[in-house]
Amino acid sequence: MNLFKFFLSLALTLVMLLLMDPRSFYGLPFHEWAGLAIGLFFILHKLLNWGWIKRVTILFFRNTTWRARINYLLDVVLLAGLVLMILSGMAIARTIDFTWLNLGGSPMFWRVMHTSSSFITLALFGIHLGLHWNWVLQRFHLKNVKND
Amino acid sequence: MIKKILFGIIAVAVLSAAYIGFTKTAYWNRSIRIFRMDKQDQFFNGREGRGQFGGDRPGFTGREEAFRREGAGNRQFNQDGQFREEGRRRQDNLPDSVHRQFGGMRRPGMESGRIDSLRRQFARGDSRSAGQRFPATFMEGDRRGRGEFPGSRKIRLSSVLWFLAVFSGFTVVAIYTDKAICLIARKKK
Repeated sequence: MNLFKFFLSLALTLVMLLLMDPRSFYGLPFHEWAGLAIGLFFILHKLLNWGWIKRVTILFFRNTTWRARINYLLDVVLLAGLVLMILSGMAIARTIDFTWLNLGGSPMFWRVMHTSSSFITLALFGIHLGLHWNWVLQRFHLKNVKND
Repeated sequence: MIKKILFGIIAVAVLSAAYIGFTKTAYWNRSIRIFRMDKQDQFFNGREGRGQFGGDRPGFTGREEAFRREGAGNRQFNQDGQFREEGRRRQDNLPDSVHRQFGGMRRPGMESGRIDSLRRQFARGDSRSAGQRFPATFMEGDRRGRGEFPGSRKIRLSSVLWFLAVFSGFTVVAIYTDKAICLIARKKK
């Protein structure tokens, strides 16, 4: 299971990096479809760690470590960033028709929102990985510590 | 100890690459652009017509508004007697085909084909990114407009590598900050 989690996280990171420039990898169709797929990857990632989320949610204001609290808050911001990223992406999509969503607002607003949210989310992804670095080292059997 | 030094060197290398990537991709400006939106609101209203599938193209209203503002500026120039200069400068910026379309109004002394040569030089698909005179940045890529993706190359990972560098930079900063905080906490105990 842990190995699956690791490869899912790796896939998330790689896809996220490829999505940062729509021109980099097979143009706009890939960008839009992979953008939707990354949302599913993220949901799967959260489901696989549902036990931790549940535990920290219950203990957030009671008895848990500061590290877990920071990770939890970072995850909440990451979720918000990802939602904004996908929503704005839907609003400016060109190869997939999302007009039925009637999101409103000017396309330029959504475009700036898309760029800003994706840049901020990538930075948060980096920080998230840094805070879970021990867990990554464990996967490669480079460290024998328990990460909360 | 050697391991620690090696990791330190790698961290410095990653951070250096991240710094270059950060500036190359205009990371900071593009990240906080959404928070500066109220200041740039007039520009956002001006491009409403570029919707998902065209629609009634209300963006022209914005464009007309921009022209009206520009026109007001020109009138001020008129009063100062500088209108001709402004008009001439604009004529210089037009390609030859547009000149011909509007009756071949050309400034005396202008070499023929000069502007078209510039257009050829900056034509899409040329070595703009490699050129010294017109270095491409990601910001410029943004300004290019939607739908103008170069179709010749399907995989172009150079920009992805810069984003990878920035991503790794954030990771390294988080790792070392985490380590430092743990160390301080341990020492306090």
